[in-house]
Amino acid sequence: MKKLRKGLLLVLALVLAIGLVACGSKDKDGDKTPADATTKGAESQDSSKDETKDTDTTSDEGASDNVLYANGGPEEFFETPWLNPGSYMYNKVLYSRLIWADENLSPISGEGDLAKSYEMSDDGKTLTFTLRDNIKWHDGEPITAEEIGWNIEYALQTTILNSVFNETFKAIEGAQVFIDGDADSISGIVAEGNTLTITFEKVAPDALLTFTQFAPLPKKYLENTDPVKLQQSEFFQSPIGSGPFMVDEVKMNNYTTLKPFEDYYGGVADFTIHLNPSAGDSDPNLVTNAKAGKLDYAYTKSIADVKALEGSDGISVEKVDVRYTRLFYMNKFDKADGTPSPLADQRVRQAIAYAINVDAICSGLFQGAATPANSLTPDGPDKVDGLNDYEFNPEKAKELLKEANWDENTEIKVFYYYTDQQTQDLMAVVQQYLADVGIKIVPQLVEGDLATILWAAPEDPVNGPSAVEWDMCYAANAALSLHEYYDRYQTGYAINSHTPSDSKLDELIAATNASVDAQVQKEAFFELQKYENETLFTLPLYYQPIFVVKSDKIAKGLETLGNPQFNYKWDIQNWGLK
Amino acid sequence: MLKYTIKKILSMIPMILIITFIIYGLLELTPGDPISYLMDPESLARLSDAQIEEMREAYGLNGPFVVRYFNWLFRLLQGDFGYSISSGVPVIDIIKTGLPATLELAVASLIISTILGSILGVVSAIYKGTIGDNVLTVFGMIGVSIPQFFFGIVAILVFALNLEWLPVGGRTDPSVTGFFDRLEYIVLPSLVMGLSMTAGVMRYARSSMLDTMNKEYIKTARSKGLAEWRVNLLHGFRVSLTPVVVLIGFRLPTLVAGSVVIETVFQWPGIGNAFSTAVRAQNYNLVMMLALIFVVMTLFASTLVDIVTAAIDPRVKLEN
Repeated sequence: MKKLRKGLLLVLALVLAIGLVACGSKDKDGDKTPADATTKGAESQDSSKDETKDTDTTSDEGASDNVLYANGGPEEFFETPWLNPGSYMYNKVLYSRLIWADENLSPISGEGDLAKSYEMSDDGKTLTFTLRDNIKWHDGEPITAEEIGWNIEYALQTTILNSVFNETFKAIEGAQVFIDGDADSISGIVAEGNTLTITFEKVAPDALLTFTQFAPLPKKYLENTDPVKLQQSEFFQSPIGSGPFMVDEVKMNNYTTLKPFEDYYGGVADFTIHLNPSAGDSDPNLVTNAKAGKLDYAYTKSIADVKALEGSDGISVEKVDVRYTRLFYMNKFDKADGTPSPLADQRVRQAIAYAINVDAICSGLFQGAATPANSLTPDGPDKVDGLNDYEFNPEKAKELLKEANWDENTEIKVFYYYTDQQTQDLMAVVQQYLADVGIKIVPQLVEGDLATILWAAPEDPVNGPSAVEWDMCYAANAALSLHEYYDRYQTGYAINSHTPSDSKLDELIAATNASVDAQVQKEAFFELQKYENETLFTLPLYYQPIFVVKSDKIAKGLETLGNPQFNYKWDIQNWGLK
Repeated sequence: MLKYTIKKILSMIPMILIITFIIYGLLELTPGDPISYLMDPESLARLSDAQIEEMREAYGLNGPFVVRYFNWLFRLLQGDFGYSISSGVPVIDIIKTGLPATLELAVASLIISTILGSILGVVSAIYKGTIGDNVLTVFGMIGVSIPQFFFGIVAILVFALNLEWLPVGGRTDPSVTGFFDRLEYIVLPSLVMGLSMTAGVMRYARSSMLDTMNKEYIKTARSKGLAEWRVNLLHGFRVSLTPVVVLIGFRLPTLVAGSVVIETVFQWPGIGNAFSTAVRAQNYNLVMMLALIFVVMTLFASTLVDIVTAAIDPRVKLEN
């Protein structure tokens, strides 16, 4: 028996010893200086060159002493920068765009990014870029105007192009002929020396905005790739861009390091970037990494993350208002069996707006991390004053329903596709509010082919009937441009599954697309917002901000925050880390 | 023995075919298709029917599922494992990157749970009814009841964030140079996973040991005047390990396939997350290859259990 006990003790001691040795090694690392860490990192890269997907191991020249930790690193591939142009940190820093946007995403006039200057003609139909001299890709090859023109043509053949880019590029002279396969190139794109001239067939209201976000890619790596399978190209295992940072080491789903690009015209950073893998803005490890000092810059929409980080040493969280609106789409088409839509009557839609206490939902359910909406357009200079807020008024709702001869036995199908608990709670709360005024809704979680379930447009966009089964659909609009909010309500628009032809609405939307002049556009949007607010062709619920998480390691350069999901002039290469 | 093993291996082939066919069929029955995962619904709805058809063709998604299944099987037999639909990366590369990480974690956890579980289970049985036994029984119940993710988060909070002894997650870091530097990354996830499983092994080992200790041959051994440790260890412990080995043998494939929670909590770059994402995305090639690995591992584990059982239990003999 004694021997058995000794044996047991021996095994336990061995397990303990392994644990202690492992713990002990942490101290050794914890004591090392940033310079040591960089040197060790470089050695590690060299030694593991053969077994990892290293793209370049000549990382030590110009390597920095500091490391900026961020999230959004690739799990299986780098997402192309053409769909969500700035959602991922790597897409912000690996690529340059032609021109800059400010933190409000307004194009900055004068000096651009890849373009040293640009000019838009008064009629908004000719845009000329003059490229900087000696601009290079990360592999050292020069960037040419012809290559940027090729990028536009190639992008139009892909299926994962951001809708704002798509609308802009399709407005270029000769684009449709090219898309139809009747031309080898787009006639409206002319490259001469370092000048690129783009001629539009019709006004593209977001042309400048597009070129603040669209990142050209090196032609030589992609010209033989099927545009339909662009994302699956080997290029996106370790992409080559032209931005202030370049890929250094990729360990998919583990970590990715980016190092400064020595030939970047705007300065060379004195730090490297370490990316922890995560999908977009949903990083389940954001809080733990931030608290452990492994996250210096990130963003989140989760109020739970924000609450968890409150009071953390060296971490600050700042709220940024962005164009992100949660809403109920209202289907006003007749149903497939010919019965009229229960929401066709404007008074019913208004009654729904009055019946839901959005203020209480924002302060209770969302703990103050959402703002009640009275338009798709978020609060700010782009929105007209004096809109009706539809403050909670169940009596008014009942009156409107009575006027509309509302049948209390009518069931309204509400589709939603978010699976989080907050959405489930929201549906339950809305169901109760509406039941209180005599409106019966049936919430239903849908999954699968959402393109058809939610957005299949009717064959007849004027009279319907509807090609979808829902009456209301809870969804979100994350817009780069205000046009993304409203263009979808036009008669016959590809994803207009819910709004029958309305000549007044068509006219108002057309007016917003008639000019590139920011002031003219703004006034047109004001008129559209008034009509939206009165008729509630859609029911905006609340605006959701984004929270930028940053550590006090970033000592200089991040004073002004913009929408972290898009690109603006933030000069990351000139940030100072401590 | 060799004949028995060959027979067992050959009998796996029809089972593998049936199981993979069922998995392929179930994948086909899930709502949506890979195209609807590759793009957001609004972008997809903007595409024309011709564009969608072109995409389906490009990704090899056209044709009845039976035909596609046999195409997959035929390619597999030729050594072509296909490409991930999401990234275009060869499936074999994804497996080469992720599977070793998952195996590393699974084996480490298995070792911890086996050693601790067996020892504590036997000790608990020998000292049945004592305070020590009761404490271990309570420990076992707690271990079985606590969800792994909760245990993991608490472990991170205590050992990584408060005590700062260990990293919060990941498998390695650019600054890592040696074995011991890397070892610190596996300590927390493997301990959490291992300790979660220890309770199960311990309960199993305890009841098995108790059962064994009541057998006639144990009484005979004692009546022969053998030392108590000899009776416990050589006669009792050895035989009582048989059901424990069965349990452990079947745990390895389960661990590999079910490590997604621990991998998420500890940012461990294994195959669990890749599998979970691939199933949601209906990434056929990746799902089928991983499923095949899991199926083969389970079947091999079954065979291995038979062989090991025969080796450690003198009452069992393999039949031809």
